[in-house]
Amino acid sequence: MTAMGHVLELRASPLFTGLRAEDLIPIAAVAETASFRADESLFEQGDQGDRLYLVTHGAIEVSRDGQVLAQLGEGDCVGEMALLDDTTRSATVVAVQDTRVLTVTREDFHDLLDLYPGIARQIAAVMVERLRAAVDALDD
Amino acid sequence: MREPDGASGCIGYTGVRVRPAKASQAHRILDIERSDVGPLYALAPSFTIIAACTTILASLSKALFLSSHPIRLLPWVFLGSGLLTALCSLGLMALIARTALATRTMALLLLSAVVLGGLRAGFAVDPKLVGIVVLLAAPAVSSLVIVQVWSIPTATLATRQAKRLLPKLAALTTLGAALGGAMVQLLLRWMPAEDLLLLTALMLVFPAIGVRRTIRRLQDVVDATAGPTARRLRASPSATHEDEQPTLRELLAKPLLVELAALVFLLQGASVLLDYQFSAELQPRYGKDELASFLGTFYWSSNLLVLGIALVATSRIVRTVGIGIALAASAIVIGLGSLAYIAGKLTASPWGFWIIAAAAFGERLAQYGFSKPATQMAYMPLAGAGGERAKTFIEGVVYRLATAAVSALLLLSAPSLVEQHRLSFPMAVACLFVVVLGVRLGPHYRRAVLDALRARRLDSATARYLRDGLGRGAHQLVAKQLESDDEDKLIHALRVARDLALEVPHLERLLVHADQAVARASLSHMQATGYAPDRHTLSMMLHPKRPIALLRETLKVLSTRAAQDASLVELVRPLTTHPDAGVAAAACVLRLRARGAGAEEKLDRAVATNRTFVGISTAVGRLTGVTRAGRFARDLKGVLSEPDEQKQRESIAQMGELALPAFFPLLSDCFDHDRLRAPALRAMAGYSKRVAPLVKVELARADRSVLTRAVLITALERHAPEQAYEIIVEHAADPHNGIRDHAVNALWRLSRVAATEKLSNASHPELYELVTDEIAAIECYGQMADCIGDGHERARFVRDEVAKRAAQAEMRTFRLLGLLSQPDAMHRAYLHYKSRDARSRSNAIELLDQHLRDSQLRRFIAFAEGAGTADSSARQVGADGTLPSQLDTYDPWLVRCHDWQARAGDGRLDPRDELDMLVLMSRGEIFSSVSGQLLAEVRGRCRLSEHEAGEWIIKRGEDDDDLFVVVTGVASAQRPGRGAAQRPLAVFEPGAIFGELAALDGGSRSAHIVADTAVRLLRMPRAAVHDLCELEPRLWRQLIRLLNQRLRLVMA
Repeated sequence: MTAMGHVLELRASPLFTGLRAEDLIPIAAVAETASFRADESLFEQGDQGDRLYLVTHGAIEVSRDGQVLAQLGEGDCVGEMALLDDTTRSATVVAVQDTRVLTVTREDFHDLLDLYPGIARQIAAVMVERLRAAVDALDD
Repeated sequence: MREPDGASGCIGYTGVRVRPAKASQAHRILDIERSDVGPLYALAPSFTIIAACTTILASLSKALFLSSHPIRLLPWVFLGSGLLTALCSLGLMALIARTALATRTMALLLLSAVVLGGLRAGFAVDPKLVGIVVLLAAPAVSSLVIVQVWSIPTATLATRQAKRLLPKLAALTTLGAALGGAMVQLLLRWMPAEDLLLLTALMLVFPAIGVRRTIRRLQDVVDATAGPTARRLRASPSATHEDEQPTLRELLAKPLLVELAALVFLLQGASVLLDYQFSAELQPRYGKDELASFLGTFYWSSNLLVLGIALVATSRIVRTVGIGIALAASAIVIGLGSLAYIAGKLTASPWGFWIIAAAAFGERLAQYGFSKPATQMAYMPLAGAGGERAKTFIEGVVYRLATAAVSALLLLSAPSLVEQHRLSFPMAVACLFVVVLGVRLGPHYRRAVLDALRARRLDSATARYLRDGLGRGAHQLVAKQLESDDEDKLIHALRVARDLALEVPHLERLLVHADQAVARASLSHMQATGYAPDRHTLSMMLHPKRPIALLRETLKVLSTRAAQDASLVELVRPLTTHPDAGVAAAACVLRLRARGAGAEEKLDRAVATNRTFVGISTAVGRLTGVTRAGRFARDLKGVLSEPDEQKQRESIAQMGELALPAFFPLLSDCFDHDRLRAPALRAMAGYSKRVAPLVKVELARADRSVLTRAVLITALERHAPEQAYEIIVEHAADPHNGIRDHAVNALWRLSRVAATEKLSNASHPELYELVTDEIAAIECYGQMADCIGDGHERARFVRDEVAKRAAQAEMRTFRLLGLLSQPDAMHRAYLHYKSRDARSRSNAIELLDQHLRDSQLRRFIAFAEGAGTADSSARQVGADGTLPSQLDTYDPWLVRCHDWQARAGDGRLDPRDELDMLVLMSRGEIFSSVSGQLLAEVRGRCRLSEHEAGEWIIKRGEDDDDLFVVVTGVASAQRPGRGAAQRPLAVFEPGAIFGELAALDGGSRSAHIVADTAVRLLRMPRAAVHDLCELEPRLWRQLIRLLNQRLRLVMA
């Protein structure tokens, strides 16, 4: 996997899509790849959130208390919430097929946010958008 | 002790640093910390009992064997027991990945007890056979039990603590061995030797029962701050990541382990040979009783010395000389002894025996005092099952094979006393190798500590390498997309190519593309890569009928090379009378630039000095021949008084296009305005390399705000990275803490992309000076924390200020240390220094310890470890609460805060008082971590507002965009579209923040907020929030965290 691949994969995620290729370089530099076999869990509910995962290949399933919440695929990001506010994992995530992910550890992610305000600003913008959508959804 | 960052998510600090209580005299002599006492007590019984057991077994097995078998069989049995031990160790290694440490240790101890009990039972049946079996099995039992018990501290303790405690455990082992010897002497008076087997078996049961509790106690110390994941991982080895379980082959690919294995093999071989020489010299010299007396003295005196050395000297010496040299200590003694012995033999000296006796004595001291504890320390970075397997392999297999191999060699060669000094030759050579390996081990150990902190990390290549990699991958992608007819794809490809400086084939065609966006993207690429189009393309690009925005941009790009290309001037001439003033001005500037630097300076002077419309336009007109262009330039100067924001942005963009030095202060003025900041920063790109001297002038201006100076540093970093170093490094020592932060972070980012060659060389006196200043400041903050009470809110505010300052200074210290040398290691150390995992934090400090040699820099380690200042005589603070004197010059802000709180006391906070207002602001959950000095920058724009109970504070859909901090009272967010009787969406108590959505994106209010009780609020305008984020970029993380919490709340 070339670093360019990392940049393109990162860009595919809604969390980073607003960033320029150059802004993604610091993220690509600390991202690691990991593979999970089908049925293997990425993390479990109640674990300490220590890294975020970006699905680059394959599919994953998010469940809470045994109830399936969502099926996610390429470009989707999981685990960033527990990373952002230092809480435990709110759901279990299992690979439903052989899955490859890019991961960034908590320490690296926080350092990126502190050191590159452009990245932090973009993530804040995505969060604001999500929050507005969630509040609007309460109306319905 | 420092609380780790994270639990409350603050930026680099979570509360007031409480200085540790002074260590007692005993702790200081033993070189341990208060927190080491618990683990030491937990481990002491097991280590003492097991050491006693192994001593009893060693003497007992030999006695049982010799009582029924001839001595000539002895070497063969030793050989067999060595091989058996190696085999058993391999078996133990296989178990390591499958069982938890506590279970494995308990099982091994109980199994050993059962084996010994069984042997005692068998003795009644066939004592002769059991005599052989005991001698075969006892070393295997002892070796496995010892390896396993030593794994308890190495697997559970954090590196730094282990480095302090392992020598003490070695001392306990010596004590245990002495106890064991004494027990044999005593007990043999009342019981037969074979019954000691049963006693040993019973003794092993005690640590077996207690092992689980011991391990739990040790883990509690380490896990005190670790999360549940760490505990879960430790509880179940199968839950660890697959790639944390490397195979033996992978383990031995680590240079640290290969060299450690070679070192242990050679050292043990030399040690066995020395033992043989010593025995051979002893035999003819003394009779049976004299021999026993001599050996008795030899062992008790050496053990006593080892005990003393291990208790007080080992830790200190390992710290001074490094693990590698400490490991080779016994090789140095053996090597020197061997050389002396050879010399003695060659000169037929009568001192041969005493030389070898002294060598054996020294070797014991060095081996048990230094080499063995240092070997245990060397395993510390290899935490986890992998490290334990490697350890078992080296100590169980390699060590025993060395013994077996040398025994076999001696059996086969059977050297006589006369010629045995020849053994000293290979011994000296082996010792030389060991010393070389020891010297080489230091860097490998450092590497292993670093690897421990970035397990399963991608090859963290330098950014330059990364760019190369990016380039290779991107090339194919770009080439493919450029063949497309889809404009979006073309633009995307051109942008990627520009970002990564890739060449684009047929750029001419794209520069005159019918689609404006494609043409602009091509132009942007052309500018970034310095591509020079041919004359035909140029004439098409400059066609007066082309879109105005495109023409302006083209002229701007081309003006940078006007001086080198005379033909351009002719091509541009028709555009000087273009109907659009901007195009005309740009064309004029281009023509002016073509005349050379002198003409341009004249224009700059004219624009800068002539304040009147007529003056400027005349000057510009005279210079360029076009009066309108001069008027245009003058119009731009009014940018900040222009009421229309869109026009302001356009003017700023045009200033960047013209890039006249006279515009630079105007663009810098824009940095103080939230909405103009980003366009002004972008516009500065137009100045390209001229940014550096211009920024330098602006930064030197006394009337520039902190905010403007911070953004100027960013501009420099972004637009002129090659020239940035000298200017930024000057500001890394700025009196304002915030500017220091910005400067150091900018230097760090620059070094990561290797944009400036300056940073890739070591030895920078200016950086060294900066970092020693920071360390002095940290010590100073530590002292200051002592002089502030903890009672009332003002005092707490000042204490927090001090703690934030210390955390920031720590950050800068790590970054600057990384700039001085070892950036990768220092960066990892910094990231993990803040970790909640005690092992990671300990490894981070170990990494510092391994890399910092300079005594001034090493003061930081003492601080990082929580010991406060290394040099206690430097503490100048008495109980009278006077501030450290150097603070006056280093941090006047803190001195001001201190004086204010001492003066104001515990009275009611008055929002009219500047610092009281900051206390109110810092009550806000996200602002509590921002330095008051930075909050002061936006204080003037914040105001307090009061609301009655039941009053609406915010109504959904409204357009105001202030951020609110609840100072007193309670407010709540109501679900949109529903009555207030519904359960509220969120309740805001004092310290809570609301209104952040509109403050961040400028959109309308998303929910109703109502006052539940009478509330006092602090309102912060949107621009102030954004200015604060610019001043303290780490505030973004707090905001993201807040948004995340809200999202969880809404989705729940």
